[in-house]
Amino acid sequence: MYSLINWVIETLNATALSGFIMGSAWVFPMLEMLHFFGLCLLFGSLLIVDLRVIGLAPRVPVSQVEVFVRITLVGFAINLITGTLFLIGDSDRYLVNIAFWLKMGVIALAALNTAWFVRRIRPQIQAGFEGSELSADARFIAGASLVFWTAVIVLGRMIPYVEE
Amino acid sequence: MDLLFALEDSGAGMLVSSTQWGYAIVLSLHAVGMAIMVGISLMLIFRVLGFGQKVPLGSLADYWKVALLGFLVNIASGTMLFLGSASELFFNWAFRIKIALVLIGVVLTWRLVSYCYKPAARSDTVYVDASDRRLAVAALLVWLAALIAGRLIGYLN
Repeated sequence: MYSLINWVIETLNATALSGFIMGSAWVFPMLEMLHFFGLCLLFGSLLIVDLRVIGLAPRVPVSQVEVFVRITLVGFAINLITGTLFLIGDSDRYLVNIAFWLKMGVIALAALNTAWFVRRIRPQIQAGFEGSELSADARFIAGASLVFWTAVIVLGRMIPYVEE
Repeated sequence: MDLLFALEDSGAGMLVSSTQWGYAIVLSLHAVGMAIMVGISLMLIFRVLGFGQKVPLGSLADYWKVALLGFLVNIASGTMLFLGSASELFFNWAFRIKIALVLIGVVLTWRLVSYCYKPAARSDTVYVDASDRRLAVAALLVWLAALIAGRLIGYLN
């Protein structure tokens, strides 16, 4: 396992892209700013959708707030790209970091939760069901989404503080 | 300067600067509060700029309360982070600029909410005019600048 991680680290460190990301004083901070912006897009839009499913702002039809999921996807794309660039640039920092791997694990859980939402709840929303008419697991899925992404933010912030 | 050192010696200051997890936990709270406050502000700004036109403006007013909750979290966590290293942060230009930008961002977004969202509590058909859109663009730019300045604090220390 460790030899595999070491091989990945050595391979990534040898790339020109890694050198570009780590080689100047401004590339990494700029990626961090973008990563924070993507985070605000992702979490802000999820708050709109998930809190609506849970019961906030009852005058908005759920089928209408669903449009905000597009912003979630944009935020996720920004953070997938900037996050991958962090990893390519500084892999010896992340691949051996427990908070990083926990963060990736919770993102996987959040993805499964989203798949559940798309299969179970979205068809009900598109059929025009409103708040209380949605099946009982809708609020649970929406709440779990906010809990997972909050955990992702916290674990990401913890990365520098669990280094050995 | 004596005052700044005294702040660092306060209970909250020591909790942030000298305990094993104090700083990391308060910093995490600050990131979550930012995601709530700036995240929802951006959504309300995008709606005024024309995204999701089918969503009635007034019906989104409830979300501003959630944004303010995030802001409270960040006033509390931000104050603690400041107490933890007051003597450095006070002289950090990125910090000073960020504080100013956050205050401007809150005021601009608050105005946007009271112009575009609050009146709609009575009727959902609120007309967004050019001055509302200018206000929304200004709020968006200020939040982006605040994110940039906030990230720079650590690099200028």
